[in-house]
Amino acid sequence: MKYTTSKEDHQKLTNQIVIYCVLCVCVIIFAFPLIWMLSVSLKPTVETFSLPPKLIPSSLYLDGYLKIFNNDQYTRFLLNSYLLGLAVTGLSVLIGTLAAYGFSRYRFFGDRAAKLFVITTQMVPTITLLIPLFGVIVWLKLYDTMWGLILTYLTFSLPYAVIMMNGYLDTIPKDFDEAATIDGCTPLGVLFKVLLPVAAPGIISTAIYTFLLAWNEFLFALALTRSIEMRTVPVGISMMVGEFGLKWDEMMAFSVIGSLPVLILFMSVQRFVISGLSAGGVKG
Amino acid sequence: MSKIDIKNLVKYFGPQKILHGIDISISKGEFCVLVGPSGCGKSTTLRMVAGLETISGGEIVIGDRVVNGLKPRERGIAMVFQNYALYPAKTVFNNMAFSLQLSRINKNIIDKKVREVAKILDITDLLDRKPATLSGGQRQRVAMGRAIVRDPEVFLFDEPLSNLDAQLRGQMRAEIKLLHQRLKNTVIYVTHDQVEAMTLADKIVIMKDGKIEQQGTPDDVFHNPQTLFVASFMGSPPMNLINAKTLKNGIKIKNLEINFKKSSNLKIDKNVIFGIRADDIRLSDEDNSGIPVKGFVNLVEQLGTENLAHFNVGENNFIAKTNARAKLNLNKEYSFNFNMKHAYFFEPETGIRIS
Amino acid sequence: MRSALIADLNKDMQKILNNISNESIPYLFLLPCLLILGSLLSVPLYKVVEYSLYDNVIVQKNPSFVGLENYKEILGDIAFWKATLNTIIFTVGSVIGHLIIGTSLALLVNTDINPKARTLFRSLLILPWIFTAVVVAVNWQLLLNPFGIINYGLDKLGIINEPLDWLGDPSLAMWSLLLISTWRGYPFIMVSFLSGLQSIPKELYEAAEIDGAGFFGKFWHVTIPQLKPVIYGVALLDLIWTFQLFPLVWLTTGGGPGRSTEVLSTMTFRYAFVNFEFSQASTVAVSILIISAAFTIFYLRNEKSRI
Repeated sequence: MKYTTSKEDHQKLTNQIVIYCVLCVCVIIFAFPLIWMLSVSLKPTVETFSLPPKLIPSSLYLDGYLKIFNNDQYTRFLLNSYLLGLAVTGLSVLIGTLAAYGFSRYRFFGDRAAKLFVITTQMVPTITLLIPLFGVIVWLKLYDTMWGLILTYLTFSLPYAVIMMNGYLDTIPKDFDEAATIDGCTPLGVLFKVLLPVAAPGIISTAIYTFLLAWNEFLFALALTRSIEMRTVPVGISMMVGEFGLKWDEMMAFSVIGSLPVLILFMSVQRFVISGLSAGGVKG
Repeated sequence: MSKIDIKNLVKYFGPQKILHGIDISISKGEFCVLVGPSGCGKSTTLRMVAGLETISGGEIVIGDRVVNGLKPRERGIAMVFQNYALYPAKTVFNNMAFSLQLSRINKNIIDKKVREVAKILDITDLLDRKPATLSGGQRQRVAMGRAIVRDPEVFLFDEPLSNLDAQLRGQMRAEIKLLHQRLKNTVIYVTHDQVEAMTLADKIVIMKDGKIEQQGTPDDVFHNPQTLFVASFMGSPPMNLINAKTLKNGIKIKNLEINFKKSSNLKIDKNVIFGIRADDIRLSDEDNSGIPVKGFVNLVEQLGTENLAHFNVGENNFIAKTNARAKLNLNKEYSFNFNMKHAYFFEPETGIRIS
Repeated sequence: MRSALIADLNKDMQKILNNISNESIPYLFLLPCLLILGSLLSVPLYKVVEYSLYDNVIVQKNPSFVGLENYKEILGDIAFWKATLNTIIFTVGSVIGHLIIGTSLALLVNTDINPKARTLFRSLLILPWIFTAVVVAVNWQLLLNPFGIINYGLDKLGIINEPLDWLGDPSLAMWSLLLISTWRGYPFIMVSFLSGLQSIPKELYEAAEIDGAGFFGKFWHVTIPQLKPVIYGVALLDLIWTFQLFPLVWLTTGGGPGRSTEVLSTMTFRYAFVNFEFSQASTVAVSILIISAAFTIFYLRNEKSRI
């Protein structure tokens, strides 16, 4: 009897080792482009295509990063992206949470239609919106301004904020609302004093996801701004590609710097974000 | 502490009529229990008193005020919820203090009040903890504390004990009763558990399908059920209820004839439903004051202090309460004593008692 | 008498006002959101259709109405049909790639391993998804460069004899694009399926095991049926989004070399912001919208039960 158990255990252990090995190989394959990005950012451009390729640079080389940080233009891109991200996140979370609260807590005439509308807006092709939005933004005299970008970004970040927050609020029992109503809260009081403290993980993940969307956006940022002062990180990187003579070290260093904020944010609360995303079926 | 008058209360959910005109009058300091199966409208009634549901028709008066259009907080009520609804992000203290904080009462007064109530409920040690770290019984106490702190005119309880295990439920039931004796607030308490209703209530209101079947003292509804439903709902085990036909000097249940001196209200040769509680069927060895009937025992449920003997007489099944010490053998014939003084008869069509 | 009447009237008015304010509460909560989405979506959608019916919009003050002329022109243009075909190849190929890689990795990560290790692997495998398309594009240009590490590796393995210009060779560009798109998009499928897999009650597997089902039996009779709604919805979403994808294609191949990887979205952008032919751009944009709408209807039908 004892013999069979240990054989099963043995079998299980072998299985586990195989699974871990396969997973490690997968990680190496799928994360390799990113590892290579880091590696190139730490090498002089001349070594980028040196043969045989070296993953670990032979000496410490931080010029790529220094050049980025010492260039006002690049730091401006970073600043723009931060401002844009924070503004879009703040507005999306605030407006989205209010709407999500309405959807989650009230039944009213047209509620299904309104929700359907919000979900449908996720499907509208951004490229289709681009041309007329370009027209609208020019007409509003918001072309080449941060406000123009903030406004357009809301069109794609708001639906996610609503759907994610709605998913979170739906998991909170309505008893809290009723208890708070009896304790004397107004509907807004219920939301801010009782539900939001409970939904804090939901707010954080919604905020981080909308920040990620705003930070990574490329198309509107490219088409709705013109001056260097209004460019964001993604547009900035793409501009480096077009420049004469590729400076791979700078480009990769800027890619790394430009990816770090979302990387850190997303990884730190990944668990919440993923459960929030699956609550609403959300875009990649 | 005020009286409550519920007058001809009606509720529609969409086109569906949930409450068909409820009239309940609760006097000052009375403990009123609404009891009935799920979907009978008891919780809806309570929530309408609380102001959580709109009123489709009728009137609710608390004290001297018609509260129909008033917001919950203007009604002078406090409520204890089924799953307590303690705010997870707040400490026990802040849970209890929340309503007072919303009314912008002086901090020192709030502090004093919360501590006073915490002392009554013996939860002073818990004041700094979050609800998630509390046991079921502790949460229950905090939920009650939150209600008491407000010093409301009326307490509303919505099945507050149904999430507790059986032992704790008995204990909390006693505590609620003691608390009521001490605070003497007017209470409306909703439950589906008839034992809770019997033990707690000054007045029981039994509801079914959005209508009141009967209201009265526990003693009254138990011993004097006005309808078949009340008879079957109150009491454990449920009353034996069997189709019967009246004879000149008794009744006939299929092939079994029971002879006794029946009341003149029972006309001869009429279909009735005959009801008798298990307590009123005993072994003839224990009690022989009534009519003896012989039956075969097919199941004995041991309850500890007493046993429930299921037996059949011909095709008819009955449950009797017997002394725990009496050893009964299965499939053996025993003589049972039917105390026909406590027999009930109901109209089969309407379910109304024939007295 | 009169004052009593007025008091009564007052009471009634109060009641009506109360009712109105109570009924309107949810609308107030939704108002800012619907206002922004409504105006920033419906106005542009209306505008883009209008643009497609005019000639020389935006660039000229008084564009002329031409009816369906733009559509006739576009539908008669071989480049449009080439781009449509490329879009279909790109979309279908990407979605299949996402599904294969995403499903395999989801199943692999969902195996009976240490929960902490599972979270770690999930975090690492999700990485391609959180980078901006620009970084992805730059990265792959580096990797797929004729002198890049992929050519070096394939050469060392003896698969190729001379370095290939993956993004510059018309016969290879679409394949490269599909590779990049697959790498970029699989995490969405993986994450969705993973949370779907983890929501399957363990009891179902235990019941199947007791009924004598093996590994594949459990997969076929428990996993697949339970995941079915998730698979359908997620695949459709992926399809809709990949269909309209712009940045990744624009930044890696720019629709080239020649027009070998031109898809409808890059065609729209080229018309608008390279050639400044906004009418033609709008016409292509509307055709993207129509096809997206068709898929969206399927998606919403599937989601309807969840709303």
